[in-house]
Amino acid sequence: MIAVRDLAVELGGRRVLNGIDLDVGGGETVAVVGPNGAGKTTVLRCLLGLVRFRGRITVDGIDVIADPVLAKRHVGYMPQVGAACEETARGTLQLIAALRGVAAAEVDPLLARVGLTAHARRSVRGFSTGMRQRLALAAALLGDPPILVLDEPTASLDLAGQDEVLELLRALRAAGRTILMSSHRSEEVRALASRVVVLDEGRVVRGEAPPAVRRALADTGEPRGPQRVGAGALPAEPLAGDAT
Amino acid sequence: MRPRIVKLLILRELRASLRGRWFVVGTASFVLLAVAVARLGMGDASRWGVSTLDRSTVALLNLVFLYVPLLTLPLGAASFSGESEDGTLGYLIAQPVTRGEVFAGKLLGLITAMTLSIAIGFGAAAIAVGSAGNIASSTFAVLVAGAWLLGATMTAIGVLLAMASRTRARALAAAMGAWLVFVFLCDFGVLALAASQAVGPNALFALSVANPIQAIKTLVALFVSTRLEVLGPVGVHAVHELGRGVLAAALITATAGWAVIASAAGFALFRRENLT
Repeated sequence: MIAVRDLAVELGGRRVLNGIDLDVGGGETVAVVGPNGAGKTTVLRCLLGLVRFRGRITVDGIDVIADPVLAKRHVGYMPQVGAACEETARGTLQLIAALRGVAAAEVDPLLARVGLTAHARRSVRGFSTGMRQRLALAAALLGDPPILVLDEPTASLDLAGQDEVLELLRALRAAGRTILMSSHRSEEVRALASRVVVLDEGRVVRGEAPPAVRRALADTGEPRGPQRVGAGALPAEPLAGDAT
Repeated sequence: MRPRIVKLLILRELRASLRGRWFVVGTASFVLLAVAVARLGMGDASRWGVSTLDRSTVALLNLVFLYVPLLTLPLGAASFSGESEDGTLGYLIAQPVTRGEVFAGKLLGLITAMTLSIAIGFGAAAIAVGSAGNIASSTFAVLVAGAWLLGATMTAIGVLLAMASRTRARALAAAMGAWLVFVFLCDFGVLALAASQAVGPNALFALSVANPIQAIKTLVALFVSTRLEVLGPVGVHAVHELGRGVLAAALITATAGWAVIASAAGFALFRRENLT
């Protein structure tokens, strides 16, 4: 579903990504993990056309540079903190639906699905971060895209908010949605990922994960040592770098 | 570029502008100033044997040159840089739209909001002046059209400044700096050149109207008054050299050129911008 080849990014004169190769198959949930500044979010942003890059990214076989509009139709995006494009929750979803060429009739069922029906007419600026994330998830699901791109989906949430969003994402994963997410939270990775790709200093780590990642995962009971990271009952699969 | 998407984004930008403090405070103060200036312009006019219309027009003209750029430069600067900082711009571009559609939608939406603000401000002034009688609608229309062209140009320049600055604070500072340059420093520079007699009248006039504010000032004066002396000695020289028609076309082209070049340069930067 997603193929990234030799991805390189330079920001402010600094090489942020350096020759990243990554594949995400249909129905997979791949977590890109790594310490702060490793380049996790940048990978996602390249896919969405937010950052200029060298290399090639295809989504469902569509080159994201050659046909960005068609490629992005296949992708629903949930940023780290949901943006308020319009005043109200319903207005935000109606705008995104219109931009995606999706019927406005999809909006209310999605608001209900993420538990925001009662807040549909409220100002998004008054929403808690958790409510914003649920709204962003509803927006990402407009048009039922086959791929979800999630940027640190629970990083800025309190515990209750994390549970809410994780539950919604688990249901999507169980329904066979392809998910590419960045994360530095082990609970999130454990709950969702079927495969983990470790980034460090802009490169995919092959072999042992960096100490910062090992420590973070170990703190919450993840497997230690060379990362064969699985999530709960999910089969432990090799790192992307090992697999390719 | 898909017109349907651009229209959606224009309307979104317009709604965002109408909700923003800029529109409410800017438009309200513009209304107050326009009405006050128009009324004061009419005061005691007959005593001095001066046409009410001329005085009101000149008073409004000066308000336009000071206030319209002050409203529109920050409008353009703040919208792009603010939405870039809070992630909204990146979120929009992550949808199935092109950067060209987002840029066009935002810029045209800002210009639409600016148009509405000017329409309300001048509308109130027109009512104030009109209620006292003696108003020529054609003169007023030229003034409004000049203000609109100046506002659109300054909005585009504000957007360019936003693209060139990395943060909202820097963009707003750059907008205020540009306002000072266009409103005051350019005039001082031209005056200094005139005093030094370093350049001839043609070059002096070209330099003068390269400033869009001066170009619009000259354009409106050209339309609303038959007296050439209001254009100043260099303006009189330009009328003699080019004729009123050619001069008016040149002034419109110079100002619109600013808008087009600023928009194109802003888009070139926007297309390359990394939204991180």
